[in-house]
Amino acid sequence: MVRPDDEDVEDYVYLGTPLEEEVESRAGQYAKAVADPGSTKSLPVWKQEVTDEEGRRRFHGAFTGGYSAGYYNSVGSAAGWAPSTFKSSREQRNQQRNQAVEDFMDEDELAEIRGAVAVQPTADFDTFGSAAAEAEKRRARADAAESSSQAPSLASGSIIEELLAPVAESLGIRLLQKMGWRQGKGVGAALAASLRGDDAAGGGTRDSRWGRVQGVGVDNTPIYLLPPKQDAHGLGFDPFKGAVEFAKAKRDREASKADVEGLRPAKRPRSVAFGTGALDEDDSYGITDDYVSAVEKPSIASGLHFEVAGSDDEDGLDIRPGRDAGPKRIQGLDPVLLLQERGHGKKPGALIAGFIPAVSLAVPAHYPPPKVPPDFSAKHRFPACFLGGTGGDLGSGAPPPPPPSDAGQQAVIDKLAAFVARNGPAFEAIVMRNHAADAHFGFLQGGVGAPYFRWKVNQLKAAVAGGPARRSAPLEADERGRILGEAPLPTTTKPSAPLPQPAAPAPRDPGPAPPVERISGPAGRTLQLRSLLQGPFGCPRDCIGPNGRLAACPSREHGSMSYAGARADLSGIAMGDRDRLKTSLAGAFTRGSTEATGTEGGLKAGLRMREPEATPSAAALLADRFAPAGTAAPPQQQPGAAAGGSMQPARAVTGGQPGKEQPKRSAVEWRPAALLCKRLNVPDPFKGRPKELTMSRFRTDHLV
Amino acid sequence: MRYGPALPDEPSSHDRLPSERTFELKGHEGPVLAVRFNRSGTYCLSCGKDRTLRLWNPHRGIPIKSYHGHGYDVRDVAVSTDNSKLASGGGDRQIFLWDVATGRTLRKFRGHDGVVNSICYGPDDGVIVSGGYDQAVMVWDTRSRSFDPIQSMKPFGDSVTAVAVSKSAEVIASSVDGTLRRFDARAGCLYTDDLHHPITSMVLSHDDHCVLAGCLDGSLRLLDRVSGELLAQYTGHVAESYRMEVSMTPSDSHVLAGSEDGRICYWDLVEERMVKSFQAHAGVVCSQAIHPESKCLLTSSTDGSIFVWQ
Repeated sequence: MVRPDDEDVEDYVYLGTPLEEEVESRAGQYAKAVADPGSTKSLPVWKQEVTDEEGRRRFHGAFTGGYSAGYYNSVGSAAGWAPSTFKSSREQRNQQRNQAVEDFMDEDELAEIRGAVAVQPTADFDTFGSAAAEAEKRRARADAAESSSQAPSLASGSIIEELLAPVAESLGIRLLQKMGWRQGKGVGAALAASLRGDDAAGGGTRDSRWGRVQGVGVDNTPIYLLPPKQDAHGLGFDPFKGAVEFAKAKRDREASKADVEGLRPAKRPRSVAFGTGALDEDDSYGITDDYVSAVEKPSIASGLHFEVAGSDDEDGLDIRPGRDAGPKRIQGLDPVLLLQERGHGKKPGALIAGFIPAVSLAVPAHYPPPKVPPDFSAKHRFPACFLGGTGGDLGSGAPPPPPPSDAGQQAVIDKLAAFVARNGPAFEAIVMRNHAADAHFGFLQGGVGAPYFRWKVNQLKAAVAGGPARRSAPLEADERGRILGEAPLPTTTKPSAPLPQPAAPAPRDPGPAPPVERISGPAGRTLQLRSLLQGPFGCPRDCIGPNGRLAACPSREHGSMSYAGARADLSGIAMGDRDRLKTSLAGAFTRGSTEATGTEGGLKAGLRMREPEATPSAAALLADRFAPAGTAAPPQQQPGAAAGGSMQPARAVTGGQPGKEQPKRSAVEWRPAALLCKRLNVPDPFKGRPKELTMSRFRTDHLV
Repeated sequence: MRYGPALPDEPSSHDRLPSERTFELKGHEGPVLAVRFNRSGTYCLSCGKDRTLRLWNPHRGIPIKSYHGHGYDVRDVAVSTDNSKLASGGGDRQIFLWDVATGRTLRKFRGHDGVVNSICYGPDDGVIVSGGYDQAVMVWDTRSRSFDPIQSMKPFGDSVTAVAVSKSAEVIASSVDGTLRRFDARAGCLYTDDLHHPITSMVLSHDDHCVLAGCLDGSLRLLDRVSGELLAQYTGHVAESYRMEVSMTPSDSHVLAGSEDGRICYWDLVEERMVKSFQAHAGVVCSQAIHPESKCLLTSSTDGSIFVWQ
């Protein structure tokens, strides 16, 4: 291509689109012409495009007031809606601000709200009485609040009532109502009609010719009432317990009786009763009277006789009877109100359906008052054996029968009565068996002295039985002697001569021996009825000198030994007594198994057995008995005082130091902890067994 | 020089009783309530009203260590067999278990409701036995981590003044109510010996057969441990109101006790007569400890002094 030289520079031919300046293009790259909002409103939504004042596209006002507000580009403008500005609550955190719906409404919506009328149920059309119930609850709550404000103290009234205010509409009820529940209905999904097997009923959601039919909610949960008590049995007593067929027979009998009386309706009714709450004016009417009906055969298995069902439909006719808990009419009480299906139960003479005229007036049976015997005295007198207290006032109710004239016979009766009172009638039976032919024991068979023997036994029994209840310590020897009618020892009654006199006679035999009564035991042996105390507490042999004279018990060498020896004597005598009793009562009593598991039985062979312990009273008594025998101490010492001071004069006799008192040893059971035994490397002496009750098998132990 | 039974042909056996002062252990600032040798007799411990425990070497007369931590006066201290731990108690109503080397408290046993008067270790250091003003003897376990007592025995009628554990698994305690109680763990029995006078201190003889009790009627009583029989009674010193300790020489041939007039008195055990006494302190001799083997005696007094005698 030929070109002229000067024109070549100027005359370029450009192909393509010339490049624009960058600055210009960037500035207005997305700018559009500002469209009139009025014009864009007419366009369909997808064609509308939002621009700002300079024509830039905006995201539908998403950052300035919401989609719709920005959609028409009216946010922030004079005609548009101004969003509420953000206000930080950091400064006023404690001031809680309640937001309301009105805060987010514009003027148009507010105006709508102002013109609207709140729809509320009125009491006039309160079909189910729920609004009335609500109002009642509210009033009750207000009353409760008022009363609690009058008595604001927590302590004065019931705390529960103050803390828990009654809520008319609880959260659960509100939730249920949101889910479609209403008062008087059961909880659960609406039952399909096919499930209920009732096509005619309107329940269940189903498709009909006319479209979908909404199902009806489930029935209310039946409230079962226990049958009212109309028999004369005690509470909870079932005369047919374990005899179901008899109960069934009785029910059948009653049912047939109802059939005969014509109270049973001819047709099976469909409804049982009307629900509570609706149309109830008078609540005071007996609920069972109201809703009882005589329908169906009573169910046998169920003990619940009545069913109160909630109302299902407005007409009250669509209530099905309970499936297995059939209602049962009360015997002897005519059903007053029977709301049944139309036509059912309508007798020829009945005015209203469901009402049955009474055949006869129910007259309660009248029982005449019991006849008072002519010799009845309104004053009750307890027999003498029931009267507690000591033996002295036992016979206060009635004079004691006179003792037999023979003194020996009376002594025998007294002793035997003491044993019988202690050991029970088995002992008496043994004696009676062994001495059936003995004339001395004729009082056992009702001979001479029998009333006195009975009276004595009862008296001693009352003393024995009343004894442990009121005393915590074992019976003192004095009390025991008093109960047994024993005379004190002559050594204590007669103060012996002062001991330092060498010529003082000290009899080897401890005084004139008390009369020894003997009763032949069951095994042919003789039972020493002499006091247990006399044996061990007589002067021990150790204290008697070689010349037959009572030597002073030297405290240092002899005191503890004789003490221990006497203690062993005491325990031996006690054991002897036990053995005798054991053998005599072996045939009459069965021994428990406690002995086999006793503590001593479980001890190892190498372990030292615990010594049989003398009770403190016995020890005190021992010291009391010793002191007068060895010294010139006054005989009437208190046992407690004698325990500490009895050795003092003895020491003076032996010439010991004045301040040298013998230590007094006593031992009690002590249970070391298992861990302590482990740490001390000894076996647990009780092997972790709990402390057993200090209950003796022998009543004599309580007596001693 | 070792102790031994006094032979009949040895008339001067009394000379072997320590009576010459060698050292004074200075450091306590108040009455020293207890001095104790350790098991082997190489060291000694003291405690007192200045709320400290002090460890000494009595043979050279030098202090070794002091243990601070008590908030009240320390009434008694016991050393474990392996010399690694100390147990002390006093007005804190707690038993402090110390580590000897570091001087820190390892544990504090709480349970006493009153001042702890006496502490001793059980066999193999497995238990600590303590008795206090709360009329109780408590047994503490040193091997577990429990802070509660294994067992607390409260049959006493008054303050418990001394406790001891015999070799035959018995806890023996004396009380101001005048009783000496022996808790026999093997037999499961508690034996109570009523001495009729308040007992301020008690010690077991080294052969475990006898119990020596110092009573407030101015006499010491020696009892057979098993039978409780009164074997001997020693008088001649002054003991009317103070709590003073008694001890027996390692051979059990002599009995010694402090006196309220500051003397130390020795009695022959069998003959019941005072064989020697010397003025040890100006004040009341609160505590003394006799060396388990050699001729050495420690005494402490209310004036805060501790003397070593040979």
